[in-house]
Amino acid sequence: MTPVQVVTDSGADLTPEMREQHGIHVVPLTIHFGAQEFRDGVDLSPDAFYERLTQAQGDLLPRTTQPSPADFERVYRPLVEAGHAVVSIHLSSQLSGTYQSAALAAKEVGGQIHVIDSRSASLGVGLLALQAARLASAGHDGLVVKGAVEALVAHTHVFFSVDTLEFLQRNGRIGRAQAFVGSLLNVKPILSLVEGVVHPVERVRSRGRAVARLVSLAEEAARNRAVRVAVVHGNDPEGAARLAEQVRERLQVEELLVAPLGPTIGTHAGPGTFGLVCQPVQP
Amino acid sequence: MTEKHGLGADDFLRALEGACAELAARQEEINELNVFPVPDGDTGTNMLRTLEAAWHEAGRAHRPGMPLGPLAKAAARGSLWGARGNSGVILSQFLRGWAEGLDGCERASAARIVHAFEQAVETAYRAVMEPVEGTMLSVGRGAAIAARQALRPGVSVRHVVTAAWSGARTALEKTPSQLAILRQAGVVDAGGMGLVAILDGALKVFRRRNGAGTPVLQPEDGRGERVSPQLISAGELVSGPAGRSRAFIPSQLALAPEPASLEYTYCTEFVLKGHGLPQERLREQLTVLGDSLLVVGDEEALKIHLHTNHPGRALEIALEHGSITNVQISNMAEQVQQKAARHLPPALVAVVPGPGFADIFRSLGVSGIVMGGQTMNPSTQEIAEVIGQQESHYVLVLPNNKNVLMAAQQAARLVPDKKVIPLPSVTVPQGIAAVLAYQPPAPGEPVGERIASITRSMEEAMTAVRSGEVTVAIRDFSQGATSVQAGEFMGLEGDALLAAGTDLSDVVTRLVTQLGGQEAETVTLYYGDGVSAEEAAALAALLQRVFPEPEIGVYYGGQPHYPYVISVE
Repeated sequence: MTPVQVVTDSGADLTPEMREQHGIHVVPLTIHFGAQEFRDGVDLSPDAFYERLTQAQGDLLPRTTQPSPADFERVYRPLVEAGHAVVSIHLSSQLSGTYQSAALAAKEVGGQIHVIDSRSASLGVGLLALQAARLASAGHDGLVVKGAVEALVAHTHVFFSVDTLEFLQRNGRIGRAQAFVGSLLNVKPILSLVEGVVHPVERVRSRGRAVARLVSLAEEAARNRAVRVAVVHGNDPEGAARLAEQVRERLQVEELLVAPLGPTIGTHAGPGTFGLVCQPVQP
Repeated sequence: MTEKHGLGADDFLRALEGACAELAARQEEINELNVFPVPDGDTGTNMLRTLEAAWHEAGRAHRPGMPLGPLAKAAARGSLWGARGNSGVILSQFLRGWAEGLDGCERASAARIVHAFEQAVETAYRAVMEPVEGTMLSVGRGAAIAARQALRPGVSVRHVVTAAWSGARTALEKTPSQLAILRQAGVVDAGGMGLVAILDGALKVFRRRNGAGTPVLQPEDGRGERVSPQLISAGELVSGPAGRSRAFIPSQLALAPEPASLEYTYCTEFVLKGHGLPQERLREQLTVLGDSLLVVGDEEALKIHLHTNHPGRALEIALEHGSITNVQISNMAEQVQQKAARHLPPALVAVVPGPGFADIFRSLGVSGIVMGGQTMNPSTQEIAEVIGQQESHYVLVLPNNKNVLMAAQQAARLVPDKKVIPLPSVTVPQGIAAVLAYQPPAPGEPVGERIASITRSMEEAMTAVRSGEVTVAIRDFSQGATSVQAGEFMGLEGDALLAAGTDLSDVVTRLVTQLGGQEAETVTLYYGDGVSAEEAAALAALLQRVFPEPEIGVYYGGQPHYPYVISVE
């Protein structure tokens, strides 16, 4: 039996190594800087993105657009024709139209294509895709992989902190964290994704405290179980390393990945964003 | 006072008047007994305001010839709502117990008075989480014990009250030997002196043969005209069934969303008793008034249930056929509102000492602000009103001052139909940390189940911040190796004197050092109403040079008496 193929989008923040190692197909969103367009992860790397970002202002601040159904069709059709089943995992439908494009394409192409709304973002999607890829190479069929991923969705937690809520607000993805806008004090908001939407958790006074609280939140979510953790950072590898260290000390970590926040998520959350994804090995 | 009949309502009212006059005369003296030479948290003023509230409420309730019991209750009620500061709250508890001891009493005999004193002491002790000897409580207890010892057949009320006063004075003199901080400061307990003054003032009224002598203050007109600007009563106390329960109705009812259209508002139920009751006829008559009509029973007794907008008409119709009993009318629209309120996320209420802080807390999502005022101690009523204005069923209260904590706890108990949780924030920085740590529940999440973990995170965050404040010493004071002279600046962390001197910048710098500024991540200065923005900015710049590590922030707090409130995290 030909192995199940795993498809995701660039909002999953999978590094090139992760993609290659697991043979995951990534459909890119498009980043727009003024009139210029870049396919995330193809024409634009995270480093290049952050550099452009520091220079951009006003109308030149980046925006993203989702892949079209045709972009997905181009990926699905050859796989289905080669006899594969496909499991396609995407950014929360509340945050992006990507899931919808994928679903439309799946209908058009036909065959066994399971499109899953991760209700998450960044490596919240990425960890699901990685797990799907593992199950696929272990030889499980499409339905089993789909079921396993869907079961993990509710247990995949994302906690993150942003430098400023401006980016989320500008791009309309601020969700319930609108409640945190307007603070007269200089504070760092800590946010999570709940039911696919940005949710306010709490606020702290400093970055150091934010790091400590993110780990505590992951600890609470982990509830003493073995977990897979991803540390995501916006252009701050040292900060990410410190965060990873604290995570290893306080949680039962079976697997820990560190990755930079890609351009898609970086556009919406802003530079200076960092976060944790936490997923139990056994939900 | 006609001794042979004991203490009556008129006597008690005049005693309250005399007590207020005495407290007013000795207000400053008592204020200066504050262990900490800080210009706020004034026990004398707080007790006076609390007792005035008692006196005014008693004045309003007074009718010629009325029995003592209800008047004492009115006084207790007034003090409950008017209670300010910890000492005011404890005083209100004394009055509450006193009134309980006089329940149902027409005129009180000496024995009854002794019982009331004992009840007062018991109630006050119960109200305090960790009662400490050498405070108002032990002075009250001394009074009650002395009164009991003086009680013998045939003695007068005046005799036992005088004994109580004497016992209070003796207990007051002992307070420095019971509490180290009093001894060190060389003072007796301020609240205890307040109690002595109250008993003294009450007795003075009766020492004058004819009760002559004009009181310092004018009482409320018995018909409810308000005289005192202090009592901002924006609500009403309403009797519940059997005259026992009291419901506080805030005058500004929160604007609640329209309940999903209820055609008939009042769920009306009653029992109709009579002979040969005509079930069918009643059904015909009542069915036009609304819906959900049920008429069950027999010729002698019918249970009737109906949803209608005119419960009165339903009752009148029933009365044509017999007598009614067990009447229950509930407003279903309110019930819907209340149910909806349970799904709302908890509302936050904060007591703030300045307008800048009010702005800060509001910007952080706090919906109810109680201004502390010049004394920085709002009354129980002021706090309860703001709580009552919140739409949500769950309300979290941040007192942000150790002398407001008890009034906040009292207010929490007095607002019906709401689950009010006072949090133990004793400084403004703690309050801010708590608000930042407040985790809003997700929509649809049952709030009740989340409240415990929400408050836990808030309390944890409070412990992570150190709070300091700078003020001017109102008299010479020393604590351990540090001493300060009247007029100099003091840097305090709670009750600890950490820095003192004539130069404000220097005192602030030393205070921040003591609070751990060197290793901190954030140091925040909140400047008060006597400081300009430029001065504050200059001080912050200075601090940044001394403490390069932390982020230094400056914000306008607007508080009186304290040039700087400082948080170190």
